Amino acid sequence: MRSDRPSLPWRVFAHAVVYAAALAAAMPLLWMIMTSLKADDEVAPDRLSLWPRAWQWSNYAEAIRAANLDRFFMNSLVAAVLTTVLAGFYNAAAGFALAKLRFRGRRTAIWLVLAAMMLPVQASFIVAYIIAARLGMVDNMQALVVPFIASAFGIFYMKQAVAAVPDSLLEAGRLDGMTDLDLFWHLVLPAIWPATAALGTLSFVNSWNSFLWPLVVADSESSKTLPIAIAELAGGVYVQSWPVRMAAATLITLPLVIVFLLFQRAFVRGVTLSGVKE
Amino acid sequence: MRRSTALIVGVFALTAALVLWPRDGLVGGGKTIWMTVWGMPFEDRLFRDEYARGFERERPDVRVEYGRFADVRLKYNAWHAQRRGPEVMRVEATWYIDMARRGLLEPLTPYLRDPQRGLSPERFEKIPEHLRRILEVDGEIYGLPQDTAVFGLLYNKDIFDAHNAANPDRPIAYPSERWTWDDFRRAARELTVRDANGRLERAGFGVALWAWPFLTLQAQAGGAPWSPDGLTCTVDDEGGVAALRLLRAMQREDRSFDPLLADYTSGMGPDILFGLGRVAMLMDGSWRVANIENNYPNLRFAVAPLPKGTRRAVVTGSIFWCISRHAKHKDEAWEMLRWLTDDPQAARYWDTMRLAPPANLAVIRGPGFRQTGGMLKDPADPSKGFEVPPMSADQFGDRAAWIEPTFVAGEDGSPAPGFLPMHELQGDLFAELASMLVSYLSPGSTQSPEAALRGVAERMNELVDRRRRAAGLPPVQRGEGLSR
Repeated sequence: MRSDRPSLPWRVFAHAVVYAAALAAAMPLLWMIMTSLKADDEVAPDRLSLWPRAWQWSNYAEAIRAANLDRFFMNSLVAAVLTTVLAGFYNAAAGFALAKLRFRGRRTAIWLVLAAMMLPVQASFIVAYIIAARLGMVDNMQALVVPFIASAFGIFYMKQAVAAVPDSLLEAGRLDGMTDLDLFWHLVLPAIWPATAALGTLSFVNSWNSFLWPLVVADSESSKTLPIAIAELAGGVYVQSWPVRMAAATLITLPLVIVFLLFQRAFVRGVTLSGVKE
Repeated sequence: MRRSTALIVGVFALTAALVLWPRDGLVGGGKTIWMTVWGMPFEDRLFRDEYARGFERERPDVRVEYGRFADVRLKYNAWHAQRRGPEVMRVEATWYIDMARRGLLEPLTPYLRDPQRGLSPERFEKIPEHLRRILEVDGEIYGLPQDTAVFGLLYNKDIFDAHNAANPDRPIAYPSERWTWDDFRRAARELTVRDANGRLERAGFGVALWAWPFLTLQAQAGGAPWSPDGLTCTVDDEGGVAALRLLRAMQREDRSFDPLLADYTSGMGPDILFGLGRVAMLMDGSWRVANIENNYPNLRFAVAPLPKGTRRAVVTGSIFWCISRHAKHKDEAWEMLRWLTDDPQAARYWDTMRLAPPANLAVIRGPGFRQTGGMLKDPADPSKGFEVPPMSADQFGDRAAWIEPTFVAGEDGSPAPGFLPMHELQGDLFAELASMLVSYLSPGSTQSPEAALRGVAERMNELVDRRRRAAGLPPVQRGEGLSR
């Protein structure tokens, strides 16, 4: 009887490729962590090594002190959590409307969403800034959250996810007297939970890492975020210290690792099911 | 109400609250003026704690709102689009002409000439002459210079001493302003050390690849980056070619210079190798001195004026204090500019930061310039050490005495060597030069200096013509076959 299992050499080769790719992907992260534990004179450009000579844990305390990370942590956290919650809801609601409700202009709306997805962010950046400024959304929490609570990608992604929900399920709900809001809340959202979690994870990561938009809209200390605080460690003509900057970068990466670990199953399922890749 | 409806209403309420939440503008009513800078977080202790609070003590009716930004130029442009701007803004010389011509800056000429509130001729003449020359843009002055960073030659005294002890027959004196390019090349060659396999253990010379070293060497060889009318880029003149030839000769013939291709602000430049004793001489700016003292406290080094080519020339930089054209309280802003550039504030800039000498000759020639207090990491706990180390009077000779000759005319009547190349497209030129140097000095490059520089000049001239076309002017007629 012929076995479906691949041959041993093939499996060894496949594993080697996968491990090599994983190592390549993890290397920058590993390099960042190792550099964060080095002394300044260990990052000389001509003699780089991965392993620190002596572990400099004090770089972490110095990073928090020099970049005022504690002060900006709450700004980043509140912006990321609010963006995640609201983006999850509004993108899913818009996706539900475009995928399952019949209304005049639906096709045009879908085309507009697709067209917006094809527009590079840079092309709309200045217009977005001017609109935000006219609405008073500059130098405050609104500026960091409101522009991101719905996006073309998020709406399209959720539309694809909602499209996979059987129409028969919604028809059954309607026969039971459910309104469109009930259908969305009780039937659609639970069915597309992995996609919502995947979009939530992406929204959190995007908001947490966002640099250019906060750089432009945050004027005062009370609205600056963590990536800006790290950028300020290299203000002027020289860099404060690579190990200290890497320690700061490691500290702000940790919440992302935690979020991803919590939602990784749903994230992978959500990306697989929707068939959409950002 | 059904649960689903309640939850959805809750999300809408949260959104509405977020959108409609009252917003505080950065600048409140009354006499609140807005001061913006860039820099490291610790620089707040001078700009905010001393300057902003100090001016509030001078003018109790004025409140100073302070902001430091990682990329302040981007902020200036964004605010300009909103028709608002700070009363007091820190502007790099590289941006100055462009910002003035685009209408971001308020002309200061009426304030300067005001008999009551203006600057007296004595006060104006404290500004080094090379800065006074470049303040005027299209007949107006838009800024008062805060500092003037200087390019110098840092050298490791231990390396020189060890070489002289080992080679008493061919000693090398410490660098001085009398050094020529030949003296410099010879010293770099002698101080280079390679192992048995030819691997570089110590380079005689190091410099980061950016615009300043090129502009310095070009000027020392008699060249200039722009024609006098500013319409033609002349980096490919004989001076420019001589500058590139010198760098390549040191790299390939003498093998005393091993250029690192890292960006200047990457923090991975030759200054680290200098600090570790693997580069004997480093061409770098005045801001590097205290930084190296802090990072390498045991390094025995000093700084000398740059060697000369056919003439003495030292590139300098500057930072200006300016007022936004959209500022609400321009009179108060002018008062603060005048206060910021007055002797006590200029002296504090050097005393605390030691990045660059203040643009004030009275301070540079005064006793406060000869020793500094530095800046503690934590004033409440001096045991944590310094952000900027102090400089004792004993250290002055090694660390800061090299600066003043930049502003002093030669005994033979030659002008002071300090110069500040200014042009509306200076930022673009800087980027082009840095990119050209990386390409030209790459190990396998076969590019000739003429071709490398012609490419830069042609791209810059194209930018000049594009701006002219946008202004409805014809392109500049330049000689056929030449970039100019």
